Amino acid sequence: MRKKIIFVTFVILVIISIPSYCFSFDNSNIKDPTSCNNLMTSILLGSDGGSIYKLSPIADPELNNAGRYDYIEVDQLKLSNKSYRKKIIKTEGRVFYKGAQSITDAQEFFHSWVKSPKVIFAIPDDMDSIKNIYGTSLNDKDIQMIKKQIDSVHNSLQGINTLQQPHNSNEINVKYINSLITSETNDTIILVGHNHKGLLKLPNGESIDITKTQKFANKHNKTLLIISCNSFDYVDQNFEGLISIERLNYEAIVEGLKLAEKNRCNFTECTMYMGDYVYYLDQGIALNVEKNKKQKIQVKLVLTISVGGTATCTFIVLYEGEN
Amino acid sequence: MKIFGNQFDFVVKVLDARKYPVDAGADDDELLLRLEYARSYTKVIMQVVISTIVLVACFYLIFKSTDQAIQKASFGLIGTVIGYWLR
Repeated sequence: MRKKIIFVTFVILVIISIPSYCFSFDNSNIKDPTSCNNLMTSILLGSDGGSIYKLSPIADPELNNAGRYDYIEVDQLKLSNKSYRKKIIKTEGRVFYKGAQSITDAQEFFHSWVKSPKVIFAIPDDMDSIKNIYGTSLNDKDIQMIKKQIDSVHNSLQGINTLQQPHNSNEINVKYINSLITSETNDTIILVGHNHKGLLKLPNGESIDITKTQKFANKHNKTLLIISCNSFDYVDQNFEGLISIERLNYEAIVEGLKLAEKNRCNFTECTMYMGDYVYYLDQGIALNVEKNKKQKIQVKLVLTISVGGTATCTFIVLYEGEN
Repeated sequence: MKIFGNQFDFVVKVLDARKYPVDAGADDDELLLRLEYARSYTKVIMQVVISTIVLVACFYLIFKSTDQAIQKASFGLIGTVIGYWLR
């Protein structure tokens, strides 16, 4: 059974640090952190009784079979372990929601609406901005190579008509991002970029801290999805938002956004639940990663068949020659 | 320590880095490594071209030449090329 069906975007990584609490729906009932067995798993959210995100806890051995509504509690130290991360990556989820407080907060996040998302793809579009983001030690050939890839990403992004984006990279700066977070225009902001040890680099040379920006957005009740490589390594334990535990290609993220937007606008008024939106985002990224893996396998297969075929032909010629 | 497949892995890494020299993070070392791989693209193409030329030439010599010494040398060269790619 294809593991893709088993989807772990909603594997919630509830990072419990000491001291930490597990809250039940009734906040007066604070549980011992080492025995979070009584977290509410059936909370009806929203008056329309629509999509109900009932999240269920799972344990480590069940990780491979984790479904869309499963979450796992794991501490920071365990998640820093490379082999444990590989186990999570094998589940084929690519981005995860990290919670820090209660499952209720996570369920509310998944149950929020995505009506008018705006994406900020903080990638360069000229030589100077490439140097701002990737360093000044690059030579001209490297810059040309990077520019070719970035231009292709820009072209792919333009194809997503339903997603609002800045007209060019010059518009993207700290002030602009902060103004988007505080304004009422968009309910969801998706920020994608290259992060260097937790600092997301912007094309104009500025950088923003992932943890602080997410906290700023949470404070203003704005849904901010930050998508960047290995972001988990650089957020603090109280961080609540999307994280990734591996490298992500821009192209994969664009595919994820395309799939999410395509499905969002299958619904009336182009509105969908955040849970569904993140699900399609993750699925799009995972599909692209799978496609790349298959291409790598194909290259190896071609090489193996070529070399193997040559060896076989040689053996046959030698054998025929001897006879 | 891997005994076989290092050359195949190298080719795959070079082609991948050529296609995607940059991604969404997260450290400078990884970026420089990918760019290093991407710069080796021409080297990999030349390896494939030269290997193909040598193999074609060797098989031609094996079929056309009657001189045993030449045939032996051709088989030897084919073995060298195969061994290079299987390392």
